[in-house]
Amino acid sequence: MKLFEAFIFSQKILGMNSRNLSYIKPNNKKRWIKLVDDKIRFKKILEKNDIPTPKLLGVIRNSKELSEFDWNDLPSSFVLKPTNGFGGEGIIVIFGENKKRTESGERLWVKGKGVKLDETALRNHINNILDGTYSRTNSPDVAFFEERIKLTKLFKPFAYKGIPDIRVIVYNRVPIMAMLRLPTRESDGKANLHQGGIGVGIDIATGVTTNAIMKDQMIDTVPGTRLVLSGIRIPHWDDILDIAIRTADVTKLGFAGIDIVIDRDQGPVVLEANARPGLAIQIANLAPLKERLEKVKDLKIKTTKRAIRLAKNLFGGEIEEEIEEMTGKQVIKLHQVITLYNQDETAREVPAKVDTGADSSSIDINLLKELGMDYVLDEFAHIEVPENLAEMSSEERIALMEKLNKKLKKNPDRHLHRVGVIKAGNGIALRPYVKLKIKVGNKVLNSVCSITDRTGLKYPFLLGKKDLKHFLIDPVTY
Amino acid sequence: MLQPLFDFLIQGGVPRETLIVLLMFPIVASLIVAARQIVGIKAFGIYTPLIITFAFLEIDIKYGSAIFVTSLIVASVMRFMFQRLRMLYLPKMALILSITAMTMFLILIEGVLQDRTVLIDLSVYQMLIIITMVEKFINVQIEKGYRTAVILATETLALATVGYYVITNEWFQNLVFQTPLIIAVFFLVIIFLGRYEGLRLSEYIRFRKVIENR
Repeated sequence: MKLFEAFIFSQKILGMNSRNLSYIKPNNKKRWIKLVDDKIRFKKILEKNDIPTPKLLGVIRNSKELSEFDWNDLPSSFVLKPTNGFGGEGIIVIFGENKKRTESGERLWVKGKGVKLDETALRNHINNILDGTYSRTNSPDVAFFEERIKLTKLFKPFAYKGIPDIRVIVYNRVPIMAMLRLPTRESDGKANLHQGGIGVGIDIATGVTTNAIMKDQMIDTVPGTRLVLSGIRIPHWDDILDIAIRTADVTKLGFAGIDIVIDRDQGPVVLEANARPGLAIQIANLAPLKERLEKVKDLKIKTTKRAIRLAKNLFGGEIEEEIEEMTGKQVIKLHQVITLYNQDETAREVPAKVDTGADSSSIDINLLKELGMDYVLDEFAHIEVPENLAEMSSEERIALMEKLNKKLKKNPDRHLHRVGVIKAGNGIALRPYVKLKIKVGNKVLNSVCSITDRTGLKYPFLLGKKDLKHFLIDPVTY
Repeated sequence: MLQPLFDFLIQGGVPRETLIVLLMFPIVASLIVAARQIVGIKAFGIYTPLIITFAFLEIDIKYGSAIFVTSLIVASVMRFMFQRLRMLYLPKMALILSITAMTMFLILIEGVLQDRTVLIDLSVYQMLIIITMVEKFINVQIEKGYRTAVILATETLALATVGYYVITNEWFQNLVFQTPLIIAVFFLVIIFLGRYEGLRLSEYIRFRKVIENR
């Protein structure tokens, strides 16, 4: 029975047969496949449509063009590639240039590991490219120079040598599934999965990574390190989805894998479009593709915005997002980090605990001092407390409180917001309240918090009911 | 229905083997197609396993697979040795193939020394057919790496072996020869597999984590 259920479920997976027959063949016309396979034409069509891509710096089609090429046109950093290369063969990445020229007056470039290359060396390499040394069919090829992509800080610890890229599968204008590909030591800096790169699944709704695979096996961290691969928030997520859809649009591919890298300065740029995207993305996401493809098969989607929203609603895994959309309330955890602002708007992050049993929030007295708000306490110290406070009836206490607060309210410049008369463990006491600007999740609130002594407690801030109006609390996740 | 045609050909001097090879062709082809689309065995496309199956039919599986393995080893060593050699693709491939062909002398010498008549009488054309497979092998090695090339070569050898035992099976040969219309079934199988959308057996294994995680 279990086996039967597994079989039924497995029909939601996209296999090679189905991919070729039902998705590539009817959706990707031959002439458009040819277009995306030609890196130079592909780049030009992207540039024409204002889709960001590494700039084309020069093309060399034959030895005549090579001899006429003006080396002074090149910047000091670039990438040299064969048009029909595969598996990253024949690519030279130039990181910089020596200030001094060679004796014959040629420019002197520096590639990885500080290896120096002069124009003659580059010319030899280009001759090899033109000869077809690196081309798939070993037939004559074309060489081109393109702008070098600079690694973003976020990915620096995760990537070995190369640049990580993000693969987005787009079908019928909808981004269906995405993964982050990381080059590893084993893949020798290449992000291709079958060369030993790491594939990390991405939640379409949030752009946060989920699971990771390497050579079809699940992994938690980058091998040999403690870097956890899940929970990474990919920056510019909506832009990434947007340019993926637009790239599929302009290349007329109905079913495509768009490869995007994040440049330190430019943000997301399109590197390649693939008319025959691989299927391992299903393992990285632990989710079957076919089921998703069928959901959007017959839809007619006009704008990219709508396509993104649809994809997020249909394929986003995070339940929180869905609830937030339905109720308009954000889901927060029982314990979470919030931001406090003092009078000078200086932000300070503190761990806070949600306490639905408390009416108002409270802040630790020492934390208040650390925020430089001692003056609140000074004002509180000036309040005259009746000596018979301990013997008062509850009516008298309320009356006293109203009287004190009325007096406080007269001064609009006060820092002590109000006072409360409360029953403390050993009798009755006055408690000061302060108005504080706080940020919980992405909502900024003006909270009136009581000031208490929370020395020795784990959380210097308690979130009470009055500040929880805009939130739903998820007690399970920590 | 086809019997009169066969009789006519055989009386005209066409060897029975020729007819068998032609009739067996769609059968071996459908076997290779099924291996790809249902099981997920890729091998070196359709041509190579097909032609090697029939080469084995001529020179016997024992010597055929020996030549197969020998030429792969020789070619791998050659490619490794010539890797650093700055040479254009086609001449380099010609060099590797020619050297591989020369090693066949060793097999012939062995045949003479051991006085194995079968080895001495080996059809040289079948030998060369097996050797040309080296080109495929090296191409895959360049594009997808040594591991993949070895896997695909092993799959090719396995497919050719299965194909060999199918077409040398006497009962099966008689069946096909006596009711040649049976090959229509294999044509239908090929057409059906051409429209088959199901997962390959290998994909159930590849995607097991996705299935387990449902």
